[in-house]
Amino acid sequence: MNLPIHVASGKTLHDRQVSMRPISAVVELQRTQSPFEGGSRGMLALGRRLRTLAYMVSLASISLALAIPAHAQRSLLNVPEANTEKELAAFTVAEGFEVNLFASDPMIANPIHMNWDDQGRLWVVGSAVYPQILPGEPASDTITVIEDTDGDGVADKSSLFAENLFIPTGVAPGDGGVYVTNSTEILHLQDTNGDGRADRTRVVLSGFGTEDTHHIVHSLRWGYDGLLYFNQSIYIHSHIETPHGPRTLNAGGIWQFRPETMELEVFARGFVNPWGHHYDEWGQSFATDGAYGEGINYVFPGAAFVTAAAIPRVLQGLNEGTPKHCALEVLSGTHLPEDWRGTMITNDFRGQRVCRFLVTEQDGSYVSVEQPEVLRSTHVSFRPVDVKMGPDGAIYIADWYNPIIQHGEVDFRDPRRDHEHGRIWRITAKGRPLVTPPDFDKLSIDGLLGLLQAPEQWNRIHAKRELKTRDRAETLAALDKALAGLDPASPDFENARLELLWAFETVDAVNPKLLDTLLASSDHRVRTAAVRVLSQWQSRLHDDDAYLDKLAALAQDTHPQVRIEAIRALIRVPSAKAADAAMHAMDQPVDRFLEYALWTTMRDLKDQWLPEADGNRLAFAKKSDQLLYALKAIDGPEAVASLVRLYRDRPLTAEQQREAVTAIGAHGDAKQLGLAAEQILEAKDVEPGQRAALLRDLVEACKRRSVRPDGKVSSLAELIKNAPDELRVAAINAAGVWREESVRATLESLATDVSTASALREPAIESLSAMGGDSANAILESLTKSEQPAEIRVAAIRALIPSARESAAKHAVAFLAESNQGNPTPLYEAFLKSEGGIGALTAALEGATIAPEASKIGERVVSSSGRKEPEAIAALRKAGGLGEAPTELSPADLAAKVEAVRTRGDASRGYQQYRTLDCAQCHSIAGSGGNLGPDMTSIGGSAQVDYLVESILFPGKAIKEGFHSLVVETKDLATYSGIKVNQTGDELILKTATEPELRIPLDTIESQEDGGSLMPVELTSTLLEQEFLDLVKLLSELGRTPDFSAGTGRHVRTWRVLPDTDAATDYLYESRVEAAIKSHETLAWIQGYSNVKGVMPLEDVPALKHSYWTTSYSFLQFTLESDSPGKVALAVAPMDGLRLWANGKPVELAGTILLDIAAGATDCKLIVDRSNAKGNIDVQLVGDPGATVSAKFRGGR
Amino acid sequence: MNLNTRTRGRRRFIRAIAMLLLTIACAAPARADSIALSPGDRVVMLGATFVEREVRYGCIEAMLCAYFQESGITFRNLAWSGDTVFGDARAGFDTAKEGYERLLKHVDDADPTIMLVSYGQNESFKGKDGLEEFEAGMNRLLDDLAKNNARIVLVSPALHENLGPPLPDPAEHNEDVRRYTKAIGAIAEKRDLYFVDMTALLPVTKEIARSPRTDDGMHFTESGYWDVAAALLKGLGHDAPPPDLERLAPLRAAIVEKNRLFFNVWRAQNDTYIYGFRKYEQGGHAAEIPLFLPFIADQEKQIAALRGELHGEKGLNAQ
Repeated sequence: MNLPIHVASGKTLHDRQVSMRPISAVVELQRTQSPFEGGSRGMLALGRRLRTLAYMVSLASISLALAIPAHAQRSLLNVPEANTEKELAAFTVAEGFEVNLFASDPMIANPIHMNWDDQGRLWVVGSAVYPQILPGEPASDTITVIEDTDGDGVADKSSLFAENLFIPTGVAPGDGGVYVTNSTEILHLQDTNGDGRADRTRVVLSGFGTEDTHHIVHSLRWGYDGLLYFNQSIYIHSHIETPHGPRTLNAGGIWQFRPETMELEVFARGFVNPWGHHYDEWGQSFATDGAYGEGINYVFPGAAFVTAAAIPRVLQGLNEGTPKHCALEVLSGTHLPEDWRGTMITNDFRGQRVCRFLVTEQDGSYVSVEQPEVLRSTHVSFRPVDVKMGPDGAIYIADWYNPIIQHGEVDFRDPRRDHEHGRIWRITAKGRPLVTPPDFDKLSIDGLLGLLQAPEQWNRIHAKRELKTRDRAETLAALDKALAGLDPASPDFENARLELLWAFETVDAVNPKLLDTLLASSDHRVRTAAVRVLSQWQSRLHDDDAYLDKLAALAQDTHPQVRIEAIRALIRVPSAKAADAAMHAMDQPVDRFLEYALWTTMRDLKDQWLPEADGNRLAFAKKSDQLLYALKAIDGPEAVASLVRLYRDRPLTAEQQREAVTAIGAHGDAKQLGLAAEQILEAKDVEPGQRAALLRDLVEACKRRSVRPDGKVSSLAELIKNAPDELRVAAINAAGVWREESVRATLESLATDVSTASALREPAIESLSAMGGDSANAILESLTKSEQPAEIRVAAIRALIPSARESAAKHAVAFLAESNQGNPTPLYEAFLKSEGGIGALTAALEGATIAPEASKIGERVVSSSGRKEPEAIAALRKAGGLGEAPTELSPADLAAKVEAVRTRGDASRGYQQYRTLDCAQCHSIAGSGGNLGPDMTSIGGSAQVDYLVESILFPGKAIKEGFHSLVVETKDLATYSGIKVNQTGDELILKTATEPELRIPLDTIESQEDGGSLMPVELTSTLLEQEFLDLVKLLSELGRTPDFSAGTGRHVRTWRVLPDTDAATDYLYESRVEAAIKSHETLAWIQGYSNVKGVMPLEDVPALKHSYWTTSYSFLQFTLESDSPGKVALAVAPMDGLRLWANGKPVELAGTILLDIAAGATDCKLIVDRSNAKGNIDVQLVGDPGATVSAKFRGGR
Repeated sequence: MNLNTRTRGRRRFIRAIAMLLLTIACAAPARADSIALSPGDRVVMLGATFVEREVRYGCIEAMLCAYFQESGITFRNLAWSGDTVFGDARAGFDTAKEGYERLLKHVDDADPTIMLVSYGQNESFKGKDGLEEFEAGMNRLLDDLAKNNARIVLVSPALHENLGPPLPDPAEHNEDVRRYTKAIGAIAEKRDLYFVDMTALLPVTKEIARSPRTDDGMHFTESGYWDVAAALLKGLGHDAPPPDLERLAPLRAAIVEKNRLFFNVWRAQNDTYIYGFRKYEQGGHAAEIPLFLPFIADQEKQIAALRGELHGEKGLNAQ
């Protein structure tokens, strides 16, 4: 048992005790009004902690006397001194703005979340107990109220409102007290005697999960509608009991709650750490994720995002490839310059940046473009975690202040965790007047209503909430009067009416007349918001039919955003009629948000519409494409019968046929699969390529699910003999997967015939293996001999593993002993995949010698499988003569490496290593690269150097959340490892090194085990010591230093480049250089990536040179994606020597390029004349008045 | 890990003696007229939010401690918000089946001699259609709990109060609560288990409640829990005058603190890292969890001392 902490704890715990705020507060407190409140509590807490310490030391030391405090050395690292002057000096602020310290310790410590009350006081929660309570330690976390009484922009008064909380991560004053999250609970605390301290506690909701204390319920925020919103993160499982019934949310999501009625609903699902949620002035919601890199996410009711439990498809955010973000605030108010209002602020807390995004709506979609940073710091403890507009119109940033931000990856008791400091920073626009906050208490009802058009959204929210405390009859009368008094000619008329509708909603008074008026508004944003109100008032306003009729019309609105909202609102009355009304939206253009709304709605309503899918009642079911879409959305066995009928009886396009067969294959039973198989095999009039594709789709599904179609498949024999090659291969595979004995002899002769092409022999070998039997085994044995071609030998050895693994292992070792045998990766993979395979290989390696290169590849394949196979790795290394694998760094060695990185590492050189090792295959920087490993964009801002060193050398030691592999064994004895993406009702979805989405049917799974990291160990073994130091140095600077930060520009980062091959060069010489614009089999494009700044270094692009050419050329391509057609603005550098084509058409390069693109993907190619091109290649999207749509470059890998 | 090994042996011994005495004393009918707590009793409370919130208030435990004067009676609250007889709220990352197994393990670890089992509130929201499933689930649970050889008391859910708009009118839902309560009563009857009918002990009217025990119609307030505690005592077959709550305050505070400490043991936060699939990162801290036990033992001593003080004054209810 590794428990370094308790021996080290002498120091660790003690540090934490003496650093507790109240102790220092007593001494240092100068500005705080009531110092003694904290003092007595602190002494109590200290007493408890000393007692804890005594126990822990006495109990723990027995078993731990010999343990080494492994992390003690890590304190050698430079954690900068907490000094607010120096921190101020470390800021770079946006031009025209300045920053000042509003509050800091001892007033507050480690602030996590904050909200203003209507008296202009800031309520702040923080936690010293986080991350994990000590045995016997009291729950002693606090709510502090701080105030700037003299208006100088600096807090001068603070008081402790509550001090017995348990990791409070969200706070929202309201309803005569304050709502605060308290681990499993949401409490409402009140001060009933006016002494400034909470004296009444009501548990409002309880049952929130605490599986991870940085995931617990958080981000409380009052909505524009008077509802309270709060979020939870990925590991949390919550079961809340309300008078309306129990409510459950597993994994992340956003809750919506009306305290006075106790109505609690899930507003949206998913996210890893949705630490930010706000809405614009039209009531549309946006969210950010503190552990996922998609920037701003547009959220509508029922939308689901990454990690949403049991939902097979999720929505993407608006800024794929950005760093992770915490908190979200939509800016408003007169203090800020006009062009800042409506933009959104969130925090890159890893990279010490406060970021700003311009989000604009375009035909129902949103486009989000990052702007220059609001604030940036070089101080590693600056951790902006919350941002709120203040009542004075300034921007306030909560700085959690901590050098350590990892939760699981760094020891809970790591002494570098800060438990005592914290700051609130205030950002103001230079030379612009501040806002005078209203005194809500003193305002009349009319005065409050006047604030509903205040430029400050904050004032609008508080005014509406204040109305709830006033006389109801007077309020309603005043609302009617205000409505009558609006000036239709005013430019704000539509928004003003909407605010009044929301005011009615906030005070919970239905107003059908106003609602109907706004549903017919000329402004689509108002209609959209009104639909949401309609759905919330549904049961009180309409009978079901009237409601559906109303929404059926709205689902055909001229604006897609209204359609999205209406489609989602239809589920309030679950019925076939609702489904039909929703599908009508498909008669108009469908963008990705609307499509998602439709997909999820058809799933929500499947029980109602599916029974009618084959009848005449549903209009959409008469249209093959729409019915296919809806049936596919269900993604389950209940839809298959209708899918089979659709596939057999209706004319479908080639693409639709494949979709139908794939969907049947995914969930069909044997009989249904048999019907589909017959249809494919008998459809002689269908083009052979299409038949081959259909057959492949079906066979692939049968293989995955270990099911055999029930039906006549004997015509396979005919296809295997006489069909064109592509269909032949598909039929050979089918014969194996379906164990079709009637063709065994044909397969045997194919497999053994040396004159047959390997492309046919290999599948025949695999199919024979699947069919099994002595004769098959004898044939496979004979094919492993060295006179056979290498690929046949590999195929035969692989095929032997399931039935004769020892023999297969023996042949494999013989094969691996030969040099130049080609890539052995598929061999290793096959041994890993089959039960007992890797053990057999390990045994066969005993005493054998294999080629060192084969040994290295083997180690890489085995270690990156996520499985723990130390014996196999040791055997491989020994057989390859590589010596023993290192297992651990001593603390002293680690410290030495860390120091060496600091003093001798060079990040620029390190970037070369990053490319050489092809890190981008699994890791992304700014959206470019793979997603099998954690994003690296701002890794330097979050990870300490020791962590980086150990993570590279020993990838399994600490694994980022969401990157744990899962090792799955299926009933047919195959093993898969990958990272769990999701699990639906009947499938487990993994991403693996080779497949972005591997779907494993749950009923085929025998066992699941947690695996380790998928990162190969010794990936860096080929690096020299200096190269390793450089690589770590680079990682430590990514996202932290200006040279290695991705910045806010939208560059092409993922490229395809043409490698320098003779075949390509010859082809381009013969057909001229411009032939590269079209695809051709000799042009084998490969992946390429820009550097951290988004620039493609020319030296990294292959140059192709033919002896008859006077210059050499480079060829690159990238892809633009857009939700709608229009013009985008591109800047291309350098101009000289470059030529650009978009979808095959040449584009003139001059100044900013306005490019016409269609909706969807636009393929762009560049030809570079290397003798003329000077400088590195940089293509980016830029802002330009001529641009009508926003697009993005395709990232990924 | 069994967190109770230190006291388990001693309690088993006391219980064995008690059982022996009981056997000698009378050939008791299978179903008692009342339920009394005796030295060595470990009371385990099982259920959902209705029971779980008692952790925060300690009223039931304080009331029972005040009434049953013998020493050596301890309490463990193993309720879980949103839970059902199927254990689904305890599933966490796993399946409902594993959640159910966890429920049984929780009980096993607490080594009860008597169990107060209160389910049905969450299930009742499924109405008539869910009743059969609930009965089957309850019977399965009781079959599985039987192996603990503890006396089992079934406690019905409580009715919802009508607090007036905008909170929902509970009249319709209360029909379902009654329906499920009736089913629980029938199961108790069939199994010869003691049954406490909270719907009868804490009656509600259709009118708006004038002095409500709940703050939202469903969840009891602190003072509401005193009523629940008194009702439970009565339901267990004991008529007692209302206790002096002020005098119970120190005892109750000690109970609440014990509950808090115990909550941090069996519902430890960060359990993903301590016991779950990320334990290779922070699993070492699992060793901290048993370090709570001495604090709990201390707290139990303090509770015992406070009880002694109360009963030293001739018992709370004897005045």
